[in-house]
Amino acid sequence: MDDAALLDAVAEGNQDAMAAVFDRYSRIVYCIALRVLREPSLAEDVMQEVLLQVWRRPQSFVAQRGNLAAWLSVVTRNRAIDVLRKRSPLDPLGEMPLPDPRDMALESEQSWLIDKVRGVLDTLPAEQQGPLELAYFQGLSHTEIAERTGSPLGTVKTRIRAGLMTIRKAMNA
Amino acid sequence: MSDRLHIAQPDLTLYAMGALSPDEMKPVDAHLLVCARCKEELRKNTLALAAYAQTTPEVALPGGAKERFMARLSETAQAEGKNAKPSAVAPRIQKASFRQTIFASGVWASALAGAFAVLLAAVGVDDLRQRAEIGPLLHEAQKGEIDSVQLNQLMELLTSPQAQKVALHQSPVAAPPPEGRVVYAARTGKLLMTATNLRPLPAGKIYELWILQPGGKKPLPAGTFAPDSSGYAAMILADAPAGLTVQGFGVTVENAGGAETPTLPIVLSGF
Repeated sequence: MDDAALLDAVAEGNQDAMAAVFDRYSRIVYCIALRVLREPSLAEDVMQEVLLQVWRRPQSFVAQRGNLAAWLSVVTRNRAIDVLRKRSPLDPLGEMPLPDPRDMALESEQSWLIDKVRGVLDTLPAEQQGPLELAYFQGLSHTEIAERTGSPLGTVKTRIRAGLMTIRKAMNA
Repeated sequence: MSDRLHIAQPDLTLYAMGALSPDEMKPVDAHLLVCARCKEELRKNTLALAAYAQTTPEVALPGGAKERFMARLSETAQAEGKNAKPSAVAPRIQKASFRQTIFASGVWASALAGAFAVLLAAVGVDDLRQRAEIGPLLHEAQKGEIDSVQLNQLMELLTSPQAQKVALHQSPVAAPPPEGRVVYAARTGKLLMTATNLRPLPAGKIYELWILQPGGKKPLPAGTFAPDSSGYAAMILADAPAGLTVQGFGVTVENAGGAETPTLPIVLSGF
């Protein structure tokens, strides 16, 4: 059953369908939350919260026909960063527009794409990899990264941008 | 932060990560309302970040994680009345479908955009922040992408006895003339522009707003915008030129990317 059919069933209150969503995506959601929070119990809390949002608002996914894995990944990271910084959510869950399905349509294509991104990350210079990791998985602002690394603010911004551009190029290659 | 026409790429990257301060995010939010190019760039950044997140090495879930989730799911379903009983489920789904049908409809989205244009024009001159908050709702409503919380806010506004009500009628056969409004706070450099009935533009062209100054001074570009399919456009600028003595405003058609001097004819103007 594809994601759209699964979410249709979730919209009808089918808890078995939600269990299937859990089986399909809980691991990646948990792993991202854990990478940010480094605390299994907090990561599990975030995982539950994000997946329950799918239960509460499945129609928003169905309507936008987006890529659920991509949406869950970004939302999980954002929510985990909020927890890390002990702040109220900047954006309620579900506010983020779903990536266009044309970009990552099939599960097999997506898996291949992620492998390609992993490949380029290994080759990314440390001066780009570090700031990107600090900004995305540790939630540091560019100012905080500049202070921590001793690099000028503009350099930090440029390196984060360069790292992301490398990922984008890999995705389009 | 921007080159006046577009958000600087490194800042757009940080925006996608949520790494800008709230003050830094405001002008980006406003710019994204009207700039398809930056919005597309943001979409690509978001996709790349999603892929980056998914490169995280996999580890096993904690033991019993699924059982705990299913127990919480069951509690949530009962608390929200969303369970397998048709009497409890059907009205909820029906309501959601009804709302989504309404807002996915281009006709209703256009009507809503028009209603908001009137409401925007009716609110106080100084409350540009409120307008900036309404802007994203308008944009999402136009696209048919709106969530239940925002939808409730819209519905509250539209059903409020204090809100101005506007009757809508069938459009006349002859195309109505373009109209626009500009609210500009010289002290803070904040500017709001709304326009309706704008003609669609050929590829590679865009509308541009100009600040007209007295004494024959050169008009200042104040941002480019494109109308939606109904001819409606809105632009909110938090960083328009401040401290100016303004004679009026004008709108011209320019090449995509905007111009530094206006190209005649002026399609809209006000003094």
